[in-house]
Amino acid sequence: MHAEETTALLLDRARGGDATARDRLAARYLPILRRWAHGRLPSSTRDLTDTDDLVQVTLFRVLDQIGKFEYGGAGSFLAYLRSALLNLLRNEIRRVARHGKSVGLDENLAEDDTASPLELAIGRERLERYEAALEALPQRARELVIMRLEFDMTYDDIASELRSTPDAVRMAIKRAVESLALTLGERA
Amino acid sequence: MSASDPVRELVEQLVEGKPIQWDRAPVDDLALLDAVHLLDQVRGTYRRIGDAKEPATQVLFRWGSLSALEKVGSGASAEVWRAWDPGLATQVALKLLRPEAAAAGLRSEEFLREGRLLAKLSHRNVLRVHGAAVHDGRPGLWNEWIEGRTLEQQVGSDGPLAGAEAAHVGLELCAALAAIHAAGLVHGDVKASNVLRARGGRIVLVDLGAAGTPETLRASLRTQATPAYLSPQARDGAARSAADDLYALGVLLHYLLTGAYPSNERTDLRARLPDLDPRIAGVVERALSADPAQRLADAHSFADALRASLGSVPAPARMRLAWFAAAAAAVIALGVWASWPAPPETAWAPQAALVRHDQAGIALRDGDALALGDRLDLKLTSDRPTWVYLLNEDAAGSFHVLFPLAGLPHANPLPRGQTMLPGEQAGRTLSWQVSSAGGREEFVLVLANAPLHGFEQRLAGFATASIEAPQRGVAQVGSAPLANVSLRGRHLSALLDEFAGELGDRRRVQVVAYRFDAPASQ
Repeated sequence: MHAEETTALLLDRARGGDATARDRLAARYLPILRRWAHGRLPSSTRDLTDTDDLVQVTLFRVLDQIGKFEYGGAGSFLAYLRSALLNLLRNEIRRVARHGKSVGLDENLAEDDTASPLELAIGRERLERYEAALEALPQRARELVIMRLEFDMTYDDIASELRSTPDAVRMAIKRAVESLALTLGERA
Repeated sequence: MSASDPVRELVEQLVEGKPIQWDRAPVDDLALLDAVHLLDQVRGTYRRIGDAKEPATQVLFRWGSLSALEKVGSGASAEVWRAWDPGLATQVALKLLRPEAAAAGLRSEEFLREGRLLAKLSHRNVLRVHGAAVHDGRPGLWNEWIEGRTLEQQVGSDGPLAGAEAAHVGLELCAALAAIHAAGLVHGDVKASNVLRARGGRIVLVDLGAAGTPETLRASLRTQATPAYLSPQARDGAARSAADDLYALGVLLHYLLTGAYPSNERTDLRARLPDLDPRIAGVVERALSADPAQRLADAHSFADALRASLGSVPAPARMRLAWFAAAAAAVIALGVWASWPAPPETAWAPQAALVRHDQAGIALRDGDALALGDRLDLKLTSDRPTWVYLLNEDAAGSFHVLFPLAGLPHANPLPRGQTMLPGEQAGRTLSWQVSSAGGREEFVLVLANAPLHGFEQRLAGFATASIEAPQRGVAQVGSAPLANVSLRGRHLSALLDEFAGELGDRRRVQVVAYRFDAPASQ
């Protein structure tokens, strides 16, 4: 990643109305966010097109209002996008649950189709505990956890975002995850 | 508060994306271990969703969004399938009620209700049930797919466990039962064949198909517990409760320590095992007291007693060694369905040998010398269709899949009878040819009586041998069971380690490794 392509600089240029910078931000973050969203969208609403549309709409909405976003250091943009997308997904889940799908009792007697893949994998109560513990972390630690555990970014990519070194990033992520585990362990 | 060094190790494995070695984990803070497991689940789920692809294998049928790939178990009222879950992007075990059982409406509703309850449970030491539903009129539930072996299999092959190791297992099972009981459920069938030591050492209580609320366990349909594990009160017909799970855990610990079940008379482990730490023996004897009032009150009290009996004893070395042994010869257990009667199997005994192309009747043996230009074939004889995988790595780390190869008439599965590989193509008789000398050459031959989906998927990413330029390099071929061969090739070693579970099922798979050093000149 070249220095002129860091998120901070692209955001600066996008705020100044540079459409190219806006497109480059979209190109960089759309794939990461799409992948992430597939883990958070319930089967009842999960369709490749639906998910991708939601992600794209969210990203463009954020980029349209980029002037209001205060860049709080590297990693914060991704965390901000995650937060915006999570809110949108929650609204979508509520909408589906409220209007419901016409499902015969026999066909889905016990199936919870408002559960996302992540929820199915770890359980609703545990996901809520995870989100609460994540929220309780200091902002930088939270961003590191999200970038590594959720977005599966490499140390090199995170280091580029943070203008740091991969080794320093690796150590910081371990400390953040250790802290998160301790918080979760105490809340069990 | 800070994490201990062993916990830091676990966190490091998690962050690096490596399989977590739970058998090295301390058991003094099980809540912290469960937290690490939760984070590992989060990371694993996101990674799978981004990367995993459905195995390229025949889909037998679809059930909802799941694709059934292979039948792995069958019981009186249900069948179990290995299936692919596209939402979770991973394999799962799918249990479907048989149509005749599903026809009894009450049974179906009960089955689904319990599945829904179980899906709310999530704990490191409890098999994760993902959900329950009805599709095409068939009620079913699906849960995580675990590779490992049961404690019954472990004791059967390795003998009883040392005291500290059994106590560590007991502690993990106490954590599992505490979670189950906290959810208002009773497991109902705690026993050695219902506990898996998963790949990596995670202890998992399975067969939640017997679990239910105390009320449902009272119903006649829910009384299939194993007699040896029943408390005296349950044997006398008393209503089942969480206390019965704890009694069964006492029986299980007795079995782990001695390889046998306690008799109906007073249990005297100290007399039977004089070398056993009396504190550990005391906990087990107390758990097996005939008088319920003398037993440990709940799973937390049981865990406290076990922890106190361990004092400052560190995680036992044998537990670690047991896993390393298992890595070399692990078996695939069927997760929650491990205790179900397996379909009858006749012995499968394929014969395979590397032979010289011009001396097909003579198998190569230790000490045989090969020269540059020699041609090798694989001679296979089997009484049933066989899947063959032949791999090669040289001293320089060059790794190739020698079979299966695209473009050859021969492909997996090879038919019953005798087959020579690689075989013919367009009228030419092919062979693997020695085209270089000098350095180490290693071959691994895998034979299976069913497709190895995960292994195949992994092999698809490697280079295959070129038919026009047959592969290099052998000078001597030695044959030995895999367990006796220490492979040096990093690709082969990593591959075998990665798929130790899939390759370790001796009923289905045979693995032979060949290693030989090629002299620079003959």
